Amino acid sequence: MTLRMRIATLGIAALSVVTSLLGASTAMAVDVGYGFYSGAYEGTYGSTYDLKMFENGLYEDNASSSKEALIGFINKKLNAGGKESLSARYIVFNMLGVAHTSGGHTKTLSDTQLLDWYARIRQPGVTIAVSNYAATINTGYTSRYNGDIFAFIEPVNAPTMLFYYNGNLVYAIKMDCANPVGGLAGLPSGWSANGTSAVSQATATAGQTVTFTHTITNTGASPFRSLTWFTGWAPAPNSNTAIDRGGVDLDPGASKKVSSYDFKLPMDGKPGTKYCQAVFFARSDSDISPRGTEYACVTLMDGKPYWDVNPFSTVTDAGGGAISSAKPGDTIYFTHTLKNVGAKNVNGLQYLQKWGDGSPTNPSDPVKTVDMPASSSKDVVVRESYRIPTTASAGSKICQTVSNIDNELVNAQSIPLAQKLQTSTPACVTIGSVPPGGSDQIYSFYTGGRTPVVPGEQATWQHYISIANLPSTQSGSFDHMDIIIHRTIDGQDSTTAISSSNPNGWQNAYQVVEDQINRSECSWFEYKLYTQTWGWVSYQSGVDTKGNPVYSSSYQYTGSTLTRSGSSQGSYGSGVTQCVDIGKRPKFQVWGNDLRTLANVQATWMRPDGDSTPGAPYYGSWSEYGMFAMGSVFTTGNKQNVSSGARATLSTSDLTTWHPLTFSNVPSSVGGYSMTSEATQLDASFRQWYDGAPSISAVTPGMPGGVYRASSLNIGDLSLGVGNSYVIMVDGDVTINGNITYKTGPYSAASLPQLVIVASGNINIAENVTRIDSWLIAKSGTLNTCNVGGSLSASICNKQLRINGPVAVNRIIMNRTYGSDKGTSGEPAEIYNYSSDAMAWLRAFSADRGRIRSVYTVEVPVRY
Amino acid sequence: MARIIKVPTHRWLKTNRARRIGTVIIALIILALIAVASYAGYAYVQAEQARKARDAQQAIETAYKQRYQEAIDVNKVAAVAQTKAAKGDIAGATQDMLAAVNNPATTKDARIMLYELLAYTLLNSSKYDDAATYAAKAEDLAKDRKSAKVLGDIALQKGDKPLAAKWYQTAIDRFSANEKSQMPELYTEYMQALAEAKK
Repeated sequence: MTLRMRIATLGIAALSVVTSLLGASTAMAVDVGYGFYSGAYEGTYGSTYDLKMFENGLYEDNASSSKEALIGFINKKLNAGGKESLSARYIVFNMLGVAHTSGGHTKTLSDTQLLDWYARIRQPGVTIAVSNYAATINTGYTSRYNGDIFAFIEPVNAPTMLFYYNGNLVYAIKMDCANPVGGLAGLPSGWSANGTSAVSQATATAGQTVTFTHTITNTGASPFRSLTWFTGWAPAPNSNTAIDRGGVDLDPGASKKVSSYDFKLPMDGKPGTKYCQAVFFARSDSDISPRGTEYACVTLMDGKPYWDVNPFSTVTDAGGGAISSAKPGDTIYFTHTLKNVGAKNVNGLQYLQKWGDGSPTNPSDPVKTVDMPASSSKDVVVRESYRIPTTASAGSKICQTVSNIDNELVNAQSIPLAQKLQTSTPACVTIGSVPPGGSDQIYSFYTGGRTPVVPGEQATWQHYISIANLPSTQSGSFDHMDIIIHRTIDGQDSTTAISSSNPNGWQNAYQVVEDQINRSECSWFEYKLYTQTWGWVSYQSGVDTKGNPVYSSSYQYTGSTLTRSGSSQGSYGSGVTQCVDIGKRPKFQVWGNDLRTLANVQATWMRPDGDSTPGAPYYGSWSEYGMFAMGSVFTTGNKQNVSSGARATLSTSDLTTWHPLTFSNVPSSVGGYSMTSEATQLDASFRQWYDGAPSISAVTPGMPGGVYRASSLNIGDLSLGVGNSYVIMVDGDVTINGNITYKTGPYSAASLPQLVIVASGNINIAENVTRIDSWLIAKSGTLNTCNVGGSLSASICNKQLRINGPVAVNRIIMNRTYGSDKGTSGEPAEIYNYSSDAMAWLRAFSADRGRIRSVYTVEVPVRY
Repeated sequence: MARIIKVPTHRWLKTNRARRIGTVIIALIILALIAVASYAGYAYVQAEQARKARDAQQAIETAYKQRYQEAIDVNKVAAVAQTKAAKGDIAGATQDMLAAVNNPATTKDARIMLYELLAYTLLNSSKYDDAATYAAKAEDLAKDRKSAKVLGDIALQKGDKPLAAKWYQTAIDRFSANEKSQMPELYTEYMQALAEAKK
């Protein structure tokens, strides 16, 4: 598809193609043959004719010496008024190729046109020179008709300022009078922009809604102000039939989505009809070179299903036998079949294997393609093995389906066809059921669902035992089974014994993890089968006549032994040890302000103390007020339902449902907003005082309050008091090795201590630091809250860090492990507290320095 | 007899008054018709004159625009040729201009302008004799103040001031009365050129 330009739209002057008497066809954009403003021409200028545009021509201000000199000269003349202003406007209009307008001597030059002229002049391809030049077209000024510039035919040969574009002469201005000569076309457009138009889907059926979006990018070196644009339907839209229109400001390199348009395909449309939109844009209404995008099109499909592939799926064991259950560690086999049962060929069918709901994983299988001729009834069979993880939850299902996907097929007339999207009935196995008969089944697995577990959190294991071929309870047979569940923590073993008369079934083991992080907690079990023992037992059944005891015997139960009868298998067995790691999932809290990020927010949460009561609170990370994420927000809350205290908690709904103070773009149906980097804006706000700031190598409380700069900075313990107000812009990394604190007041707003660190590099905080009363700004750097090498542990970086002041950085690495210990695991490792003294100080600081963007933002601390 | 006379006299008097009144009315009507006809004729003549004036003006403007378009085309060819000449390709520049001259579609006015511009192009490359040759061709075709001015400029540049003065004088002599009144600045330029040649 070609780039479409719509020249005649927007009221833009069309390029007029002139067939030359000299045998050449040329494009002529400059129409100076007639009075430019009022209609004067060679025969009407009369006695009020004045040949010169400017009395001293381009010799004034040495205007022809450079492009910038000419621009400055013309700017001066534009503001001079009267004839000179008129003449300057004429030169600019003329160089832009703007056609004359009869009756318009007051024709104004817009800022956009002037910017356009600057851009054209400044193009690298434009070069200037001064030399003798001959022409038979001259221009002049007449005061008749309220002032006009007109052209006349008169040979002239004189020093002339010449403008070349890529070596071709495009414009000429006579030096001694600044009259344009030669009737040349002017400078080509110097602006550069492109755009894209897109539609949400290439094909759709009647009644479906698609969205057209249009974006414009400034690819040139000059800024656009009020770039005129409109969108329209193909073919040949114009401004009168525009769907949408407007103006847009674009700095060099900037892109902007200027229009988004939802379109519902008509119910009565003819299949195959294309609906296309494009956006057109120009520097001004008089721009002779507007731009346009390629059309984005949606095609109305034939709404009838075309083919039927009848997909179906099965799951089997290795031998091909159908199964409906399996246990962890088993390998199962899914088989998917697509069979073309339709009457027509299906070429290029795309299909996809999908995991069903509840499956432990959701991999993105590649889309596959197959041709399926109807005549051969070709089947596509895909067999895929899958080993069930040992951590799979008992009772859960693992399912797979196969379906064709939304790929485009066309009929004989090349009209896209709607598809019958088909999905097979899921083939599933249920975890945990043991097939009847056969050998003993014993296995164990962790079912906690989340790893690692944190101290105080409940972890659950399940142990399953199915003893095969046990005879029913009767003499000489099975008596009972002892199950001993072992809990081991780093080799220390504790046991729980359970005695059961029914060996087959589940045994759950709940364990509340109470130890420190960086350990492994395990569970395993053993079983012992006991067989009843019977024997002849003598007993006194009475006495004889002599009074002597009479003994009898009976065959009776005498106890049990660790044996297993009725089976060749043993009486003892054990399961595989299953372990989970105990770890610290970091938690943070943001106090007194919002949490804002251009990416995602994802923290962790937990139920404390093994409380599995529905609705019981969780505790985790939260922001006291709003939470704004350009991406998504997971398992992090607002403090709307937190209880008091350091172990503030979150309700289930905080973690899993939408909340009025949480703003994210995922899911996209509720998003769509954007933000800019606070760090970048704050950096720029403070950066204005960089020049002239004295340079320092260390921060000491004796320094006079003010703005400083440093090449790098190490800060040890620092206590700031009255008047210790420092803004330090660091051209490198900052290392904080000690606590930074503000002394207890009283203070006035003007005497508040404050430390503002604006780093171009990273900000690293040492392990021993627990409190930082400071602003930390690093627009492109990383804030590392515990700067240690190697791995973290319960004993490394295990101090709570509290930063009292605004934090705006490119990236934060939260390394603190505080809360790893039993009893503190609900507490945050890091607290970011936006204390009010920062706002009070900033108001005082900026009073005589100019406004900083966020200074006077007042956020009402609403809690929902 | 007297009686006989009286009666007719009275009637006559009555009849005569009526006739006079009728005559006056008829005369007035005739005068009105004449006035209307005269006005209509006058208006027609005026409208006709205005129409002719408009047509004439339109014809002038149309002719001018056409002539101007020719000038545009000529100047485009000259711009390319002068760019070549500035790079030293004088032969190429000359060839381009002459090709345009020799194009059958080229009008006389356009040929004159092409010769004049070719002459200046060669003059700017110090090819005085060649410049004079083509200026003379323009003069042969035009014989107007413009072609004479070109010949004067070439002579002055070459250093032949008497010849330059002669051509400048010829150019000045070719100024029409209207041109002198309508383009005093241009006339002054010619006069200054003549004065320069006479120094």
